[in-house]
Amino acid sequence: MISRLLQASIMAVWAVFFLWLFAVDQPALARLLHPRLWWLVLGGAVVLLLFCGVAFSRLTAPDPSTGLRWTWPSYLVLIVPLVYFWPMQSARFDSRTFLDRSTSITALAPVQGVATAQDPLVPPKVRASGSDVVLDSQIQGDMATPTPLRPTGETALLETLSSQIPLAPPLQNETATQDPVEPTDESVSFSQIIIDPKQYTGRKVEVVCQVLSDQRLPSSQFICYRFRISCCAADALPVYLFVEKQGHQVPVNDSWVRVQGMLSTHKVNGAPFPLIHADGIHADKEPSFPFVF
Amino acid sequence: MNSPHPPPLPLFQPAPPQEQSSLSLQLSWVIGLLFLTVAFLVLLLGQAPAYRNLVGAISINFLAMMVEALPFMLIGSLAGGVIEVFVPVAWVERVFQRRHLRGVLVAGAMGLVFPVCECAVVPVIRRLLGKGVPLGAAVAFLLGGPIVNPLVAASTAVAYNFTWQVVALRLGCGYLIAVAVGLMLGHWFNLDKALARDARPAAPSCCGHDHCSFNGSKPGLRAQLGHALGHAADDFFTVGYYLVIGTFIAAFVRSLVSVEAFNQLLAAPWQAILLMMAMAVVLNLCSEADAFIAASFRGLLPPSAQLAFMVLGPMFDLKLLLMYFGLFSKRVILTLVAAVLGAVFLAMLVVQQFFPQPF
Repeated sequence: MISRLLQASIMAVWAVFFLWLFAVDQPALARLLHPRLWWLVLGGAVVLLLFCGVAFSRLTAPDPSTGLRWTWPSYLVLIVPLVYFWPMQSARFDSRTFLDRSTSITALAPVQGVATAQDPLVPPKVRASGSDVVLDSQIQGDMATPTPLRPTGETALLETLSSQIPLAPPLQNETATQDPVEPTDESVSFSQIIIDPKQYTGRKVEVVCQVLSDQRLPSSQFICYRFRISCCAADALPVYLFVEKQGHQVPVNDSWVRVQGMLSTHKVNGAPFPLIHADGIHADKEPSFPFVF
Repeated sequence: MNSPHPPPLPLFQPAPPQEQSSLSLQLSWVIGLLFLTVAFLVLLLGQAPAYRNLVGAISINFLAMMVEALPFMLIGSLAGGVIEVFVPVAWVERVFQRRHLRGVLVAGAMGLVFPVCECAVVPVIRRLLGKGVPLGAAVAFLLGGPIVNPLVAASTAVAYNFTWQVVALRLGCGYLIAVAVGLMLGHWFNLDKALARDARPAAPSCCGHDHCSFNGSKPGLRAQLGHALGHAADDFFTVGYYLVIGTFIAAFVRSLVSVEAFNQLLAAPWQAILLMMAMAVVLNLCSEADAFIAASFRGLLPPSAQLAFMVLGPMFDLKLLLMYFGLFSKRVILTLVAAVLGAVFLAMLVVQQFFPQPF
């Protein structure tokens, strides 16, 4: 009977957790799952409640499984994800995740010792040939003090990054990706600019994004990035554009900012690269949907 | 005084629990304890400022995959419970056992009619095997179901800007490999020896639940539905155990290993294929999302390597490997894994030969 009770309790806890995510803590759900899959969470809760009902109705039935002595670890294993909800609530993807999930950014990749003594578990990245600059943009909370790069460094960076521009498909559910904007000449979302920067060249735009400032970029520029997901946070890939700050102070790394300015594009190896000449850079809070789709 | 009527026949009672557990049960117990220890230590490590970001990333990836995968697994368990109760054995025998080859060919493409993801397919396969579906057909559906389906076709088309050649190659390779491996395993293994202890049917005519009886009366619809839910709930614990462990390992690797680290190992197309296969195994992405990850490597890796990632991922990854332990014997798992990896690698070498140009 104790086994049955434990089984029913575990299923009940999971059902409550799913219902909590769906009905109460949608900001947390938005950081985990694409909105088009939220029905899964509700469906999972319903199924678990059904299982729970059956389990409670069988409380007094003989349990054919082996004794609790051998099954208790498996019951605890099923609770482990719920325990990890606690550190997840304050966790965020940041510039380290940006670099880890970027393909072909060899110019940004070479970091010996991760540029911080804080996470020795993260493996040191291999140095790219000819680069010995330490990436200090991964240092949380520090103001980056960018050193002007040699022109060849910038070219190498841009050339390498140019193949990283995702050839993203046409977006659905555009309203979910629209950041709340103050009036500009054109209301354009971050995703739209990334997908087709040429369409918005010469227009005034406003985007909300996170900051990545790096010594290997010109001192007047920083990367404005977000993460794009297909299904869940585990498949998030970075998408980004450049910002020419034109006298504004470089914001703190990984902070959320609202950038307004004129959009232009650079062509590198034939691919358009979006660049905003910023008129205004303001601190902003994290959007309710931090990912773009 | 003696009663004139004989005492009623006793209802079926399930077998008493074993006094001494088997080796697989002990191994499962040890694995569970090891996992709990590691998970607890990682959680503690996250309290230190130096590791907070890393553990935070692990938490996000872990929760995200669980919140997505667990409902699919529950839906699969529900489908499995319905199959257990409502699909007659005679129908299964009629469809699958008369012509073995036809059964495998049909099973490999069943995902087109019953689209199912890799998390949901395992509990469904458990029930189908219990119903007497031949091993070859079950394996073909296990491998082909998560990839040969309209949802995966749609996501692949979108990720590759409607380059239909990619869709056709992905689904075609997936189907052929699923059928080939299904035929191989069906030929080499007997169903009785192939299943794990927990996956074997409890009794030939009764599931062992308390509402079964030998008085021959068919239970009503409500009882049957309760029966189906009972089976499904049991699957939640059997399959869910391995899902949690596999997902944690995947989240750990996803948070620790950068994509760039894989790029450093490239030198030739066959190396790129192997590399992307390794990435597919450790990243544990769902079959709808992996097309977008593969597409991000366009221009960097040959088409065969991108395809290797998209074909292998839905068939085999760390999460599935753990879930297989609740389904197959160790020998079958070993053979299945070797066959899938070998078949995918060879198929991609052929693709590299005929389609060397970028998509």
